Formats: sequence, structure tokens, C-alpha cells
Amino acid sequence: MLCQNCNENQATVFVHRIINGQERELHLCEECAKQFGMQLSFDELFQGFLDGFLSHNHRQSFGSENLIKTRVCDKCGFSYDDFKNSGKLGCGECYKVFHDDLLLVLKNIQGSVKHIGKVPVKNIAKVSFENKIARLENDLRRAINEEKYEDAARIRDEIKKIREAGNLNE
Amino acid sequence: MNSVKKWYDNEDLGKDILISSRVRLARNLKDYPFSMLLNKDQARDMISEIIDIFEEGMSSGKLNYMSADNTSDIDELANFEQNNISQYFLLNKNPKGFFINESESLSIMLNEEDHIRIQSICAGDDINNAFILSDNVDNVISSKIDYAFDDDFGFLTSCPTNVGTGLRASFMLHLPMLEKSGQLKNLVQIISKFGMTVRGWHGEGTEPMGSLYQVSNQITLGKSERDIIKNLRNVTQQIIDQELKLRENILKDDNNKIDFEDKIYRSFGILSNCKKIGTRETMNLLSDVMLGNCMGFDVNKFKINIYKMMMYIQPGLLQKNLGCKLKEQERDIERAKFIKSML
Repeated sequence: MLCQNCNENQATVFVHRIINGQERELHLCEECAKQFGMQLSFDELFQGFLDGFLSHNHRQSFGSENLIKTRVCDKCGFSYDDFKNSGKLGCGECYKVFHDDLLLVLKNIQGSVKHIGKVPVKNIAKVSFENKIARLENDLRRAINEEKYEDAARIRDEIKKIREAGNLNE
Repeated sequence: MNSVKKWYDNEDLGKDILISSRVRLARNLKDYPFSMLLNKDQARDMISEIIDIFEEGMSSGKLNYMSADNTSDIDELANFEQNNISQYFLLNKNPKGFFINESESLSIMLNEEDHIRIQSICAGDDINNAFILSDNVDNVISSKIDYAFDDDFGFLTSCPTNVGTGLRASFMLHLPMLEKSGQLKNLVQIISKFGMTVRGWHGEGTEPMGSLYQVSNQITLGKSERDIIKNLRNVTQQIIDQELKLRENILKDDNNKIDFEDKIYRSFGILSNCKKIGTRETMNLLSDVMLGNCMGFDVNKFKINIYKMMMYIQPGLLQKNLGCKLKEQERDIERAKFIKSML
């Protein structure tokens, strides 16, 4: 798409603006965007994009912006407006509070909403701890069903031991 | 005198388009608000929790801690110029500090935009080792403390542009021909379609200098660390090929070749004989020498590699090495003296 201002260069900057209740979408090339005084660092572009993008999507889904403004993260006090204006989040919990908005934003800026890759070491340990307990509990149920009470007692003690060790580690 | 070799003490640095490989991981602790919302006490508590982990021991060699309280403005500026700390960190007035290893290949910023920014840098094409360095530190921290992490969104960061892997991998490239021909702008547009971006020498929000650019991934979510690095490597190779093609074209035509040769030797001539010189002009002239050197001309007569020259002529490092604060005019004179002393 060509720049809507100079009609010469390829448009690389897309700006959504709500002016007097009317949504306007502007497609500009880098040069014209600079002429319009727009900062072209990614964070600033992202912030502008977020502002327009969220206003647009919320008008569609809620019909009124007043509803959205009341949402605040209980943990850090960051509001929906803070998020919209800064493009940043206040704490890890904000990702839950603004979950639905983030799904839209992340889909657009990252092209995905599902993490693939590394997990923290502590989480790996947690996953393997939970897996081990689940496997033993399964063994315990089977031992009881098969009336192998000596095995069941041994497995029960083992689960207890692992749980206690897990609690100590935490 | 510190005898440990720095990552940039590499004779081959500046003889190739690809200068260095860099990896940065953004991490936050679960129990604190993100840096932007931390009050001073919380920031100090957060920092001391992480320092405790480091004191228990890291396998990545000796790390020195530089807190904001015991680092002068000039030292901070010098560390920024060496890419040990970011612009955001430099400007942050809240409690902060960073760890750095002796070879300066690894630094860990505390209370940057995110609580922890682990970054590692290796000379030349060595991104896998850069990743291993950062990854090891990350594993030690995450085995002892709870990160803000979500099964769907991955590592949670202050800005959603970093969420997921929190990984920014980058290659530092010297691209004078793409820059001068105006082709770099088009290339930037093309690579943005592959989730990559091009930034200045010192990263986000900084101006390019001496035709040095950082090519890095923009997308951090939905791709594994391995895939991000693989894609970055492919895109970077395409950029290098384009720069090489332009360089080869100059040498094909005898007139162009003599003009080119004349220019790079003149640049070296100015550097060797000037009595005062500003940072930007020095960077442009050193960039010419780097290009000539890379293309097989015996133009570099400096005692140290050209990339190191580029760092050492920066205002902060110049003042740090002289041990005093200087005005701009004084710096320009000292810069010219320094360049001469390196011949």
C-alpha cells in the first residue's frame, strides 16, 4: 500500500486514531510519519498502535469505554488506562487482569499467543514433582483395587515422604 | 593492571562485516511489581534478593557488582558506550546496579525496564556461545527464585513486546555500503516482515554511528529460542550477502576502485594528522578504514583493532581513560591525541 500523504513510497506506519468519535486509519511512509512529528522508535510506535487498537476493539466489544476504565489490577493498582497509555503492564498479575485485551494485542504484534521455549528451572522441578505424585497416586489406586495392601502402604508412605520433602524445598 | 582479555581484544574484530553476536534475556520476579512501579524500598529489596543469589555462587566466573551509588556518571556513560548497560538503564534514576564479568562478555542489569536483564556478547559469529552464557545465569537464578511466568505467555515482561522467551538476539554488523546506497531502508522494511528489526549501535532508540547496526528479532512469543536464533541467522546472512555484493561492485570498475581507495586512505590521513576531532566525524572516518581493511587494503595502522578504536574514542570512555571530566572542545583535542597515540 502506498503512503496516503505522498502517494509515492510504500506505507510502513499504520496509525489508528479516534477523532471526535470517528475512527481514522492513516497509512504513512517513514518519511511522512517523521513530518507528522511521529517518533519512530518501536516502543513509541507500539504505544500509539496500542492506543488506537484497543479503543477500536473495545468499542466493538463493549459499546462504551466507561466500562473498561474501571478495571484495575488488584495486586499493583495498574489500570486499564495506564496500560493503554503506556503500552506497559504493572506486574505479572496484570497479564491475567487484562488477559483478553492482551490476546488481541499479542496476536497482532507477536503473531502468537502461546509461549514455546524455555521454562524456569523451578517450574521444571514443579512439573516433575507433580508428575511423580500423580504417578504414585495412580499406583496406589491400582494396589488398593488389586487388594495388595502391603504395596499400597509402601506407596502411601512414599507419597507422604515426597510431599514432605517438597514442602521443605518450598 | 587487569590482565584478563576482554571480548573485544580480538585481532580479527573489524576485519569482517559481522562484528559481534549478542543475546539478552528479560526476566521479572514474581513477588514484585515490574520496575516501573517499584518504590525505592521495593527496588532495593528486589536487588538485594538477586545479589544474594549471586553471592551464593555462579559458575560463570568472577562477577563484579557495580551499584548506582559507587559508579560515577563517566563510568556509567563508558559502560553504555561499551553496550554493557542499556540507554534505559543509564537514564533510570531509581536504585539499580549491574554485574559484569572480567572479560565484559556478560552483564546482568538489575532494575532496568524489567527486574533482570541478562546479556552476553561474543566476538564475531558466535551467537550460540552468547546464548549459553546468558542461559546458564538464567538457570541459576530461576532455580532459586520464582520468576513471573505464565504457561501460555511465557516469561512475563513489563512490555508485551518482550513477553514469551524474553529473548532479544542480535548481530552487530558494519553496513557502510548498504547505508550509503540507500538500500538499507528497503532492507529494513523487508526484514520486518520476518519479525526482525534493525537498530543503532547502542540498541533501541539510539542513532546509528560509524555504519554500525544491530539486527535483532522483534518477535519473542510463539517461537522457541532455537528458532528465533536460526531465523535471525538466516536474515543476517541475506543482509551480509547484499553488503558484500555492493562491495564487490566497487572493485569491478577501475575508476570506482581508485576513488574508493583514495577515500579510505584520505580518511586514515585525517585521523592520523588531525589536531581536534568530534565523535561523529571520527566514527565516519574509522568506518571508512574498517571498510578498506575488510576489503583487503592495508589501511589500518592502528595498534588496536578498529572496533576497539571506535569504542575508545567515545566521550565517556575517553574521559574514563584520562581519569577526568572534559568539556566538548577539550575532548575533541584529547581524542585527536589518543588517535595519534594508537599509531
